[in-house]
Amino acid sequence: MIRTITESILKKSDLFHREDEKEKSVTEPITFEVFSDYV
Amino acid sequence: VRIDQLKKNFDIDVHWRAFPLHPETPEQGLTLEELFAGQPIDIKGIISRLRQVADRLGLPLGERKKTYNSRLAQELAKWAESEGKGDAFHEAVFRAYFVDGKNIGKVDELAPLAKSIGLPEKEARSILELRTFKEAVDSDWLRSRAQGITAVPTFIIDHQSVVGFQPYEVLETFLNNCGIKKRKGPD
Repeated sequence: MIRTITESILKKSDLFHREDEKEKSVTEPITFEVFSDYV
Repeated sequence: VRIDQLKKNFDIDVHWRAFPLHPETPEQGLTLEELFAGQPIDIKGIISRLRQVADRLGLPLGERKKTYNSRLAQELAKWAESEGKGDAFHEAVFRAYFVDGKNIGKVDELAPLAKSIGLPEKEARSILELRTFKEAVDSDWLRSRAQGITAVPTFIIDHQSVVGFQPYEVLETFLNNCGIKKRKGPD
């Protein structure tokens, strides 16, 4: 019983972690490089 | 202007990278005939095409007879970027060269340009004399080589690229194709 609860908590924790990462990837600006010279 | 529009419409972080197009150009500059000497290049054709592109994009273009060494301008641009004035400085240098025909390889031309966008001229001179941003530009040049850049401007997002002066719509399509969605809200 205890083991089951622990696994459940771990899974939930993992799920939250992944959601955080997902959120991060959506909100972070994308790097747009402009290679240029003036002449 | 097109980059400003992109920044407004998309959540992108623009990084200007200095590219060495003609790094061998001496301080006093070269005429286009000298620059392309010995090469089967139609200079009048190049100028004509450049003018067509400028007209299409609504960009001002003066009589371009010489090319100059852009290295110091690139180094000063790195300083302007660090001061939050990168876009204004890039525009000032492009205008100085393409519209006014100024020698952007000279400290005496570059320092007043920095002043014209609100940066201290004395500090600009010091940065150019001490070559404070030499390593930053060296790093960009190495990055250009590593990425296989051969022409400018080249726009890159995550290993995908578009080359050449492009209208805004082309750049927007490029961003869309890279999976970047337009910001929500009124245009």
